[in-house]
Amino acid sequence: MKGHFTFLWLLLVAVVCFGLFLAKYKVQSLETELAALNQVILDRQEELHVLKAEWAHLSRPERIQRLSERFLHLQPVTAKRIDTEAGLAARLERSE
Amino acid sequence: MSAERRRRKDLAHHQAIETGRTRLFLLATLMMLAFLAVGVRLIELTLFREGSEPRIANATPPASWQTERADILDRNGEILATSLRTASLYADPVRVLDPQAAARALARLLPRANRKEILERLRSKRRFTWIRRHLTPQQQYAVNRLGIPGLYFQQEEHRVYPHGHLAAHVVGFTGVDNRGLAGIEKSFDAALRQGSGPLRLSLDIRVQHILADEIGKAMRRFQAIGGSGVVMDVTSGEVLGLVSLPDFDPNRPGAASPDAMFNRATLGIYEMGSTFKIFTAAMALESGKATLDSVYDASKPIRIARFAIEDYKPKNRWLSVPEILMYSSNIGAAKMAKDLGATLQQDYLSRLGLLSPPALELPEIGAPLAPYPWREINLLTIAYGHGLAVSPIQLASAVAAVVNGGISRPATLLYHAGAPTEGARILSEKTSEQMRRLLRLVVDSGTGSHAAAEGYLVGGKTGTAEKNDANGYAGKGLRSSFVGAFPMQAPRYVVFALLDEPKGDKQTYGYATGGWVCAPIVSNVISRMAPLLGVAPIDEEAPEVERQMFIEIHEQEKRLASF
Repeated sequence: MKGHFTFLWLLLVAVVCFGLFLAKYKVQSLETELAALNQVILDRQEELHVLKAEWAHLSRPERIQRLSERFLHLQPVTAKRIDTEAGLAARLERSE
Repeated sequence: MSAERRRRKDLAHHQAIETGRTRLFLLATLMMLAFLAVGVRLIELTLFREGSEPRIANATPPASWQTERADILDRNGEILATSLRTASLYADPVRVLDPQAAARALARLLPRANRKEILERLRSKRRFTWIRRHLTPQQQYAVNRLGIPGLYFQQEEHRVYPHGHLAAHVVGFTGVDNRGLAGIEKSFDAALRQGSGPLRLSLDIRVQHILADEIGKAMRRFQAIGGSGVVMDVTSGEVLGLVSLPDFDPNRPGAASPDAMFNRATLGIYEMGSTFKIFTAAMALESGKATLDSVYDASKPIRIARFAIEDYKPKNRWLSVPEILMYSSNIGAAKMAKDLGATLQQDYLSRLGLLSPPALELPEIGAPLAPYPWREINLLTIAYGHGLAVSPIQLASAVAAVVNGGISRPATLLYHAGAPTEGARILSEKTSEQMRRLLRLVVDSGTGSHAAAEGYLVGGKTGTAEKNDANGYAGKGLRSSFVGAFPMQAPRYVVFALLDEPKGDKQTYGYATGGWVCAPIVSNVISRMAPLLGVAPIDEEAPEVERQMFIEIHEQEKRLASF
């Protein structure tokens, strides 16, 4: 009886040890992965930062105006073409 | 005897056991208490604190990527200045095997490089020497490809201004070590280096562009040597646009001329000319020395000392206050000021912030130039803007105070979301309302008619000053300006434009005055920026608008012109 108990305890200890060993390795590999991912996040943030600066450079109003004048032939909206919903009725009446 | 001995021995024995037992008991109690404490703590931790495994793993969050120097943004979050990481090339001369070949290869590779200079550096006895700061990625790759030992890269931050010359005078620039040397970069240097998040300015890059674009066009058309402009929110004092032309590229401040670096909108102080009549009229109305019906004799020039105060286009008759502004009469303005007196004039000018440097967040701030002592001639000439030099930003803030209901607020370049800031009342609501009518009148039927932008009810005043130098007024070069506000029934923005030495062309009949060259700038700027800023256009001919802007002009002509 006593021998059985000892054996059972030893088995339990072995199982727990093995489980702990597995968990520890799993955590270690996850931590490495996390650190790598964090580094990737930082790299992406820097790339994003560079892209934002580039976007600001490419969306300069002066450049957009130049491109629009060259390719779109659009004009600024004049005050005449802006009206409220209430003013619309009066306008329609006038045009009729 | 032996019994007695045994009894004693027994007693000693007994006592020893008792002592041992007590000690054991004490020790056991202590141990039990200790285990109990551990047990209680275990129960508390497992059952009460964290009943089970934590649901969310407590991993330290990744540090977010940060630059050493914070970004500068406009009011909409558009990037005005940012830092990018670049590689800088340095050498350890001791490790360079063949300085001759290395210098030749580098000089061929790097633009604007001097072979001899590089060679000299590579031959020096030091262990460290810069070859070139801030390489482009392609250059870095090319240097790496050369495979020369003893060359190394240092990661550095480089300040970049994506918008280039636009807003260069506001944002400023930094030196090679990323220290602010001008503009906001200088005045907020410490805060930017602490990296406490991006700095948001009141500037709107779209408005800034419109202002720079229109002033630039007018400058080229009228061959002006310089120009400046300001757009300001009248309720918060926020500056949406601040332009000084010619300008420079802050990405290459070394290549800029001192003239281009000079901020004409804040550091330049100028005699503004007739725009000052706004303040003269406001003072006269506020102090009660004049009403809208008061009339002044402008039939002949004023002679004082060796000067003569004349009108540009004389009407040669008595003029009422609205007419003085409408026709921009120097004589009328001077007479108004004479009724006021120098003390009141100084008092009001100082309350309008025209006698002390403005509290704008830029290092480049010009102090106004006021006469000392303040003689009668100064009293008269300042009434129409000669003899007192102020900066464009000061003039814009003072006009904002006149039209916004009479509250003076300091101009600011920091974002306040358009919320009214604390200000000091300098004019009554009534005077401000009368001034709005007067300024609308100038655009509606006076010298500022070219500033009209249909739907936005522009009001304003022209200003044309003769430039003076050491020899007095030269009589040729002009400094023309226009200050406007819109919409006049409830002003939201002040727009100021100034051109330095414009020359009239055929379409302006040779005129280079504020009304001909600067009023159209203000008109264009307003019609382009108003839709962007959500100012709804109104029907300028609507009866309620006309009633709000109505002003009665008592013409004296018929009766007095014949005198």
